[in-house]
Amino acid sequence: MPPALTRAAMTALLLLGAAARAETVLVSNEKDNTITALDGETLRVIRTVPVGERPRGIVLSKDRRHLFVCAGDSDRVEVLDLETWRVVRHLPSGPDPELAALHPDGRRLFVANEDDNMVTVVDVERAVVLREIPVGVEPEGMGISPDGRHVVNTSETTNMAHVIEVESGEIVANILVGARPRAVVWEADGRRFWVSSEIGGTLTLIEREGWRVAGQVGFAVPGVPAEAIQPVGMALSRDGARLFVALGPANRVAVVDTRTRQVERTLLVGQRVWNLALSTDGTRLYTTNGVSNDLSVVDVAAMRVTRSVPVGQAPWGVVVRP
Amino acid sequence: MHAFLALLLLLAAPAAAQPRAAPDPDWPCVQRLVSRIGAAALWPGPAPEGNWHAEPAVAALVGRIAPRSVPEAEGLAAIAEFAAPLDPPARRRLLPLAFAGLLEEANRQRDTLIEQIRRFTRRQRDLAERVRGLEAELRALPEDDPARPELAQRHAFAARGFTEAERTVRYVCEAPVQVEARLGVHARALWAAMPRE
Repeated sequence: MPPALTRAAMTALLLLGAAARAETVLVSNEKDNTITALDGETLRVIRTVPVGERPRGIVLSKDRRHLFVCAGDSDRVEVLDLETWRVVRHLPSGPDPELAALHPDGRRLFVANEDDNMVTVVDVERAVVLREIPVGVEPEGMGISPDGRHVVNTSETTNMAHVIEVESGEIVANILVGARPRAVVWEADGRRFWVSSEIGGTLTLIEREGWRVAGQVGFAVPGVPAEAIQPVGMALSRDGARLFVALGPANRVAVVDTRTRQVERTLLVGQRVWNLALSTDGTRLYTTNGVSNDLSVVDVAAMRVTRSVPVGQAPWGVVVRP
Repeated sequence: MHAFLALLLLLAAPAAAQPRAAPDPDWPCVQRLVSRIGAAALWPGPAPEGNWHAEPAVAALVGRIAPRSVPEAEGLAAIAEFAAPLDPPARRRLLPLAFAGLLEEANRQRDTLIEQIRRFTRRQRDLAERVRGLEAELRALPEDDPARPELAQRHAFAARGFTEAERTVRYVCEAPVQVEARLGVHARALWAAMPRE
């Protein structure tokens, strides 16, 4: 091939590559100790990166350059550089970090330590612990209000959502929810948040004003035993009208109308669905399926499961990097 | 003394880790016990109807691939081989039946495993009780009692047995999950062979 042509072909290839890699889907594989990166367009695996032991919660840095990985069995949060695909730093996190949430300031990472009943606040730039906040037994879910003033932490064994004021580090409310609460999701206007309860099999909706329980949602799937319906990860649709809820070993994602709190339908996905993430444009929902070792792809407009993409062993967390 | 304290903590740990709402005290796994796998957790279509035992070809397929010792690839090959000669109406009738058969077998395998796990928990509880008893005996004995070395050894032995078994809980709990995973692989292969409308 003449040099000019080669160059043109190379440029075309690069351009194609750039267009196809508009966004990346990142998945933590709990049993493989890896992060899988998939092209958001083709859903082909771009690479598989080794990280610490038992990676579960993953969070994107504010500048989207790094991924914070909670490596529970390594007792640390790792910082994965998404350009070089190397773990470049460790953050102190307390024992057994399971998941984390980043404050809108991009500096403070709130980490739930399952083993020592603490929420650890870490400065991600200086890699130091800023504060440790004692909460209930087995802290788990973590949700920061859109304005950054409050962080809600759930404790698996105490069955409570603890509302922590970010500046003072004080707990301002303890709200009883269903058994073994897991995820926390705030609505975009910051007036309400949802808590999923894995053993209770319910969702609790809590209003910020007065930290009051505004409602509960239960689930039933014909042909699936009630105890298999275990609400865990959640994601709101772009317009906030629908809440997607992973139902664990029921292998289904429930679609809940956030206004009426009715369950509209459930979609059959892979086995033991843990966590959910929307594509940047909100048209696709990705689910991590811990037993079938794949990612299910839901077409949000059609409300149909369109694909299953194999990833690592026991996929858990999922994040979309724009 | 340090080791003694650590052991006490270890003994206390399984009880503390047990979620309060857990309905079954004999269930040691982090994941809640799901007594049976429902058809709708794996099969996208209507619940399969009919008696799979009454279809000799289906019963043969189930008998061939259901045992846990059969490798995944072999199971998938058998399903492909089973579906290949069938026309669309036969597929619509027989593939859901094959799923029903595999589901029934998987639930039976899980029942056995779940019972084994429960037995494991009860054994651990008895063992913990014995360690505690030996500890009390040791505490009651004067430092220079001639029976002490032998008692201390029995105590150490029982404690080690307990601790070593406790370390295997995560793996023990994986067994029913593996049955579920296997069934999922078979179910998806059967569904993929169903005629599209």
